[in-house]
Amino acid sequence: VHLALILEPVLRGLSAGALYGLVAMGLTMIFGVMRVINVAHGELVMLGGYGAYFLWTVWHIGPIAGLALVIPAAFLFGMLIHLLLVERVASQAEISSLMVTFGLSIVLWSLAQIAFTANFRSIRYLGQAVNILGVYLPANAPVIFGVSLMLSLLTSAVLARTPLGRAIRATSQNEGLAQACGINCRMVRAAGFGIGTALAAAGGVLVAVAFVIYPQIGLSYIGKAFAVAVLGGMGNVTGALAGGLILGVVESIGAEVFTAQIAQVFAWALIFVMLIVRPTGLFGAPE
Amino acid sequence: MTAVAVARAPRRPAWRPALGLLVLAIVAALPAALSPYGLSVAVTVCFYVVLAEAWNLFSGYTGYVNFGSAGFIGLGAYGCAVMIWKFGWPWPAALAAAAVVPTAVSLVALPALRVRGAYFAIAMLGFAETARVLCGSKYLEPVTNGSVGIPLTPGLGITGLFYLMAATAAATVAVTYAVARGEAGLRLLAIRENEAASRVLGIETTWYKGAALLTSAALTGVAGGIFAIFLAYIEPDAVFSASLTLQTMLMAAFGGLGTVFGPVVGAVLLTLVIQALSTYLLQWDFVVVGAVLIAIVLLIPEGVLPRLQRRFAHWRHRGL
Repeated sequence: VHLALILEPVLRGLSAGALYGLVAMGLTMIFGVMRVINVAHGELVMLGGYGAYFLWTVWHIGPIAGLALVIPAAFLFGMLIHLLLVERVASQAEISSLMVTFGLSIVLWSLAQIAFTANFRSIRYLGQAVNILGVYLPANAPVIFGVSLMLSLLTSAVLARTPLGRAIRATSQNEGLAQACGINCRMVRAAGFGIGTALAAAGGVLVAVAFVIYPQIGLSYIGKAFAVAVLGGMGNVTGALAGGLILGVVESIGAEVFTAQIAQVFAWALIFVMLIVRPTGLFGAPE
Repeated sequence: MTAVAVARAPRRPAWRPALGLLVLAIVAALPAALSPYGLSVAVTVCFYVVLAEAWNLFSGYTGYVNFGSAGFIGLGAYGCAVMIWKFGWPWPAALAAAAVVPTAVSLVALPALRVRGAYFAIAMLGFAETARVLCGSKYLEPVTNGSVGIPLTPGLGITGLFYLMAATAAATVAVTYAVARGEAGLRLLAIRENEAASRVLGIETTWYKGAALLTSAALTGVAGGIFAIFLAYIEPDAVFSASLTLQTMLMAAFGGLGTVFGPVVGAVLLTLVIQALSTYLLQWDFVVVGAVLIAIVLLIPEGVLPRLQRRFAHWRHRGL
């Protein structure tokens, strides 16, 4: 009985944590490619969630199939944001890109509030209980864990093994040299931003299944994503997954010990602690 | 950070003190001239002057972007409201608490100054969010009344509130002016341009950054306290709202970061414009505010006032 008591929050935390890792991977990747923190990353999660929600309620497309539509749409949307806004300020002082993406974040959530109302929405999908290691969890929990893990590994593989991944890494390491080798750095950065956006939106689809979505959800997800990215080392894509699992478990146990509301603060507190203790992340310097 | 102009005039024009006196006279006469509604708009204008200028005093001069302005406002509002509601303090003492509480709590945030740029910005966003959640949580409920909020009736009329807010605004501008014209301003700007180099030159960067952040927190906190009395009722989501931070940054950036009077111009102009448009914009107000912030950073990164000053200097050169 006691083991199940501890195991339940841990398993719940791992499922949520894989999702956090997925979202944070998008944030850390955008940072790695162009040294920009996308403050509107949480709003991209929110938009992904609404995309899946409307696919589900209007066209009865399940969230897992919905991912196949949301991911390419988000990729194109991200490229568009990058080319219109971020590319113009990426080379300037950090304050410019921070303020532009902060402005974008407010524009996106207030538009969402107008278009979708402030109501809480969620996708009821695989809600029945299943027995995992003696703990009853909703059936969507292992699915979310698996999908997040797969998408994370897929992203790592794309970065490590494909020509696009090589171009992205080359651009982030030495832009001048990459350009000299015939890489179109502008489009590569746009693709990087697109992939980051797609990861955030994919995370949002899973958020709509596991939790709820509403227009102002972005603020808490930029907090979680940033905490996870700092844990894993900013710019370290595989570190983000590990960081996500850690935050998920810590939050889940925190919600048991204190309240769910207090657990929401853990991510922010973790940012502070990490910045003081180990700003380069748990796994050393990525750069 | 070369895009942001440094407003350090080589010589001070003679009309400056006269203009200052004129502004003071107009402000003193405003309560007689305005309706209660007009006066409440004037309070809001002065509130944003404090916010934008105090934000500029730290972020504009050091280049550390503070996303946690709402944290200072909320802590100031709660510092003031709790003292009046829970402990029955008179409002002057409560306003002192409004300055002390955010400053004291900001001591926790000082270690975040170890990291620059986005790290610092997000850490401060977390600072404000943590303060919001804790103020509304059941653990602080005996003091803060939790998410229910606190009603306030300290017996201060709108005229009194206006003079208080205007005096705070004047004090904030005066502090920024003194800092900017003195050596401290140069040191803060040196931190913004190249922190490592300024440390090599013997500037105690940590001390200067910390002092600027705490001063900014105290001034913003006082404004938050007066704002709480003005609202007559506060709850965590209202006084810790991230949109307060957004408007603050927008006004400071619009007027010109790292200048003394830019944020004042930005706050006055934009508050009036937003007030005037609010009946037409309805729920679109934040869409417009956010879009304008983006447009300003992309199109006039140095701010409106420095750009106008440059124009003006150009004319002067041609003998016009």
